[in-house]
Amino acid sequence: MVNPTPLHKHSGFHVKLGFVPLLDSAPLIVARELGLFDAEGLEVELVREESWASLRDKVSFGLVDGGHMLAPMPLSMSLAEDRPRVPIVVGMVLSRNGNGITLNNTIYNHLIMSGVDLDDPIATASALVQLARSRGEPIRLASVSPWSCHDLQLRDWLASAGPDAQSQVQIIPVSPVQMADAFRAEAVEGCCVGEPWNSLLEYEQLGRILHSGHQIWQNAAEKVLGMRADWTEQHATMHRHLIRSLLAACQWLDNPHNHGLLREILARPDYLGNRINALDSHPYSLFHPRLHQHFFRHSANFPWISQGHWLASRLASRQQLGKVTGEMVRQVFRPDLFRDAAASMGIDTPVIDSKTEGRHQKPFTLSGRYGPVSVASDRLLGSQLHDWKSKVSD
Amino acid sequence: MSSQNPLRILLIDKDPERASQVCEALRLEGHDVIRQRPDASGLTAAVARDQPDMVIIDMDSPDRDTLENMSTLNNHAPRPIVFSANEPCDRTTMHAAVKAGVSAYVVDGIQPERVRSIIDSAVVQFESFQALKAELEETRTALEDRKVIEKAKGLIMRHENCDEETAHRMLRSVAMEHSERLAVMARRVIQITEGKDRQGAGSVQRAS
Repeated sequence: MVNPTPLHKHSGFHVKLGFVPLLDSAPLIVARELGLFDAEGLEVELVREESWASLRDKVSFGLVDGGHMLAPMPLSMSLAEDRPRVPIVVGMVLSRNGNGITLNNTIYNHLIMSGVDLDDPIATASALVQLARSRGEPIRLASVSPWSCHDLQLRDWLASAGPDAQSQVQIIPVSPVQMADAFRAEAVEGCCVGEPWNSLLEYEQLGRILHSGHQIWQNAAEKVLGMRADWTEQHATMHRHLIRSLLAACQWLDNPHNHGLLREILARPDYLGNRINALDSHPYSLFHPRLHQHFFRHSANFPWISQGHWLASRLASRQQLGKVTGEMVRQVFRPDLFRDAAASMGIDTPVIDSKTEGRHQKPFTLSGRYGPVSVASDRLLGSQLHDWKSKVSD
Repeated sequence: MSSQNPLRILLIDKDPERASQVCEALRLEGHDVIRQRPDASGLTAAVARDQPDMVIIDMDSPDRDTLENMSTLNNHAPRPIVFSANEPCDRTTMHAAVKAGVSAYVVDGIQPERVRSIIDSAVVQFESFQALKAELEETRTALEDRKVIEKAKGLIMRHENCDEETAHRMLRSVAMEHSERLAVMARRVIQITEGKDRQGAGSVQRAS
């Protein structure tokens, strides 16, 4: 048999992807280190960015073709009204969950003493507002970046305590690398961030994880593969191979047997480096058991239009976007592209593109092209329902 | 220059040398430059205290997201230049800034030409710093290369029992054959001969 020429021997099969060194950048890193990009004939250059703002700017000006993005980021870039738009296409979700709301020990202990049910986010939000009122000083909580699920989840959680929360809780922007220092200096008393930052705060005994993002929005899309729309049009084949290689990486990541090797790979200086070394002695160190972070199971990678619309509606409620129609979301979230790539690997996908978000308390099945497909639960805080049928026009 | 008031510019750059250069250039243009590394109590507090008209920050700083967040929370906080509503910069200027690693945040209402001239100065400083670093790196590699080539020649001389000139010619013709740089081929020669020496010792034993 004659081996076909690998694609990357042809000119133009080179792609540049940006990533921010977080635990959930693992799919890109693993795809590169395990040779999964090579297997698809792609020559991928990974570019590490220290902030989402830099990644956004480099994508906007064509210095990278796309990369690991916060799920709301492509919507914010593509649909902005008050600034130049950069259309982005989401061909797959890279990870779900992984955020945590972590409080310093003082506030955490106050909540325990108040007798509130710590498993009930609506009750804890009220208790927190109550605490601020009784001490006569707002609680200071840190949020990392706008157009992120952690920011939107933190606000949703606080909003559940009623309109009072706005005056009783002060939100301060802090970068995650400075979070531990900010906790030590008591500049902030809590935060909502992604991993490994919550685990690190717990490990250094600076705070405790009160809630997982999972308790606010179950199995929310956390990071996505966002590529510049003009790139995906010019490189449809490459995009499909890119999705295939990352899907293989996600599948590998969900197998706990691989986590030893994963830790070793992530600790390399080009990736997360010594940021995760502190977690080395802990058996669950990579994936905190409370955060339900995952990459593949229950159709995790399917880019639901309804979830894109949910995120857009949350951004709109924060005045970060105007009114968003289903048609607008469809330009960004592309389940059709994902479905084709997955099918070529024998991975079945739901035949529908949208569902009522918030309705499912447990994993459930939907019809796929070839049989039933398992889909993760999607409960939203306060039993909200996001009914796409009334909002997303076809 | 004009009678305009100086602008207050907050400069955040993890590279102290480069920061000094940028700072000097902007002060020469008549601006007030605040140089500081924000501590844990935070950039938010610093921006509230100093109320800069503009923030220049290197692209590799994780504080960029903090500034982005600030601009969504507070109408008076500096906004990212790439999003500025009155488009003070053309795309070419912004492209050059992103490429050089300069990010800028600006409060509303500052004249676009002043913003552009500040960004241009910062970009020039960043680029010249980058060029200097590249030059240093080049010199370092050149020195390193020369050492490697000398070592490879020595090994060839010993193995082939020849003089230096012959060794050099051999090395050069192999490099040309493989269309590789001389230093690359020299490294390969070192790898192979050193490996062979170790293996060689083993094979002699097997033969006896």
